Amino acid sequence: MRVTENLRLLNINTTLAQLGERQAEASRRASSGIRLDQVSTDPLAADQASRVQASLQQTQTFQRNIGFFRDNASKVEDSLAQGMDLLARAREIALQGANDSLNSDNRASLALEVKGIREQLIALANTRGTNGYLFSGQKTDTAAFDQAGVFQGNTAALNAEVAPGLTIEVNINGQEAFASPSGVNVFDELASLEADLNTGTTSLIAPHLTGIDSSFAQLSNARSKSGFIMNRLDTAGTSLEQGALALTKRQSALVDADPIETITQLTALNNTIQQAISVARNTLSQNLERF
Amino acid sequence: LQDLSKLVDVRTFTNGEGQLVVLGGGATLVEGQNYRTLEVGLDTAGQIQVFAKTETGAKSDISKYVTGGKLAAIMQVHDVDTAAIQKSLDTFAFDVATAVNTQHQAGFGLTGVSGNALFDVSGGVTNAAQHLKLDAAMVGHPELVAASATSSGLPGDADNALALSQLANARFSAGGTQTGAETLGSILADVGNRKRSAEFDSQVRRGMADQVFAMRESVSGVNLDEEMISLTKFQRAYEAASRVLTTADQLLEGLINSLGR
Repeated sequence: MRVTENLRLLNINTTLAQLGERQAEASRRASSGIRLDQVSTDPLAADQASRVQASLQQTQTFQRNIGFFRDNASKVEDSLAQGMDLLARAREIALQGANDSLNSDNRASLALEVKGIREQLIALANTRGTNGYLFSGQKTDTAAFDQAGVFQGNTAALNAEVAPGLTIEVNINGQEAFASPSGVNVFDELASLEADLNTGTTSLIAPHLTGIDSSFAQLSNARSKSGFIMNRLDTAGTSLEQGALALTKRQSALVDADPIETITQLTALNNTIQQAISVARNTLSQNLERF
Repeated sequence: LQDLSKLVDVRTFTNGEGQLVVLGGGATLVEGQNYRTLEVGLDTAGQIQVFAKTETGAKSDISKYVTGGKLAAIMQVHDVDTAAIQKSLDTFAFDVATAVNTQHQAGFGLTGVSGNALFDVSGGVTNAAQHLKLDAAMVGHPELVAASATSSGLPGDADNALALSQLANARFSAGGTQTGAETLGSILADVGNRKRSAEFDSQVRRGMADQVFAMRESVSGVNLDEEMISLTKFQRAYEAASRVLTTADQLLEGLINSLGR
C-alpha cells in the first residue's frame, strides 16, 4: 500500500485531534473536580447518583421534620414540668389548709392561691407550638381546655414520618394528661379544693391530698411519654445523620473526581501530546529529497 | 459530490450516454439536464419528512430511504432518540401526577372538601411533562390541599400529607414496578447510554472513513519518495539513452572519416 503525504498528515491529524479531545476532558475534570459532569460519561453511575440524591433529599426532609417536632415535644415537656411544680405547691396548700389552727381568712387566701394555680394550669394546657395548640390533638386551632376546664380538642394522634417507613406519634393526648376520663380531672380537683378551702371544713380538705397525688402522677406519666417521644426523635435523628453521611460519601464517590488521579492523567496526556507533536515533526520533515 | 455525500447517502454511475447520474436517498437527483432538489418538513406527528422535488414542483416522500449522512443522523436523533426519551418523561410525569391525584383525592382540605385532584392530567399521557400543571380548582386555593385523612381531624391531621410523602417510596411508576426516583434514574441512564453509543458509533464510523480515505489515497495520491525515485530512474534512463546516441554518433563519425580518406 502506498503511503502518501496526505495519509501521513491525516494520521497525524487524527491522532492529535483524539489526544486533544482527551486532554480537554481531563482538564475539565481536573479543574471542576467533577467526574460525572455529563451523563454519558458513566450512565450507570448517573442513574445511581440520581437515586442517591433522592434519598439524600428525603433524609434532609426527615431531619427537618425531626427538628420541628422536637421543638414541640420540648415545649410539651416544659409545660408538664411546670404543671407538676404547680401541683406540688397545691399539695402543700392542701396540707396547710387541713390544719385546724388556720382561721377562715387564712384559708380564703389559700383558696385564692389555688384558684391562681388552676388558671395557670389551664394556661399551660393551652400552650401553643409552632403550628397551634399542643394538647388539642388534631384540633390544633382550638384551645385544649376552656376556662371551665372542659376538654375542647380531640384524642386523635398527630403522626410524623421520621425515617423511611417509620411513622411515630408526636403529640401528647391532652385529655389523658389533664382530664382523663379513667383517671383524675386535674382542674375539677383543684376547683373542688378551692371550694372546700372557702367553706373551711378540714375533714373535707384532707382527702384532696390523694386527688392531687393522682393528678401529679397523671402529669408525670404524660411527661415521661413526651420524654419518650423526644428520645425516639433523637434516636431517629442520629441514625439519619449517619445515613446522610454515608449517602454523601456514596454520592461523592459516584460524582466527584479523584484529584490525584485526574492530575496524573492530565500530566500524562500533556506529555503524550508533546511526544506526538515531535514525532510528527520528524516524520514530516523526512523525505528522500532532504535526507 | 463529496459535500453532498456528507448530507445523504449518494451513489453515482455513468449511463449509456456517458452522463453521470447522481442518486441520493433512493431518488435520482441529477440525470442529464434534469435535477431534483431535497426539501425537509415535519409531518402531523412531528416526525421529519424528506422530499425530493422536481423542477415542476412535484414532491415525493423519500424519508424512509434516507439511511446515511447528516440528514439521517438528525432524523434518528429527532424522531427516535429524543422522541423515546420524551415519551418516557411524559409517562413518568403522568404516573407521578396520577399517583399524587389518587392519594390527594382521598384526603380533606381545610374547608372539609374531599375528592379534589392536585394536578390537571386531562391532556393524557401525550406531552404530559410539558403540560403538567395544577388543577384549575387548586390555583390560588392553598386551603384545598388535602393534608388531612379525615374531615373530623381538621385542621391538625396530616395523615394524608404523610401518605402523599410516602409516595416517594411507593412503586407507582413503570407499570407499578419502580419508585419515582428509580424511574427518573433509568431515564437519565437511558439518555447517557444513547449518547454514549452514538459517540462510540461515530468513532467507529470515523475509523471506517479514515480507512476508505487511505484506500483512495493509495490509488490516487502521491508519495514524494516514490516520485523522487521515479524521477531519478527516468533521468538516468534518459542519460543512458543520450549516452547510446553519443556513442552511435561517434561510431558513425569514425566510419565516415575513415571512408572519406
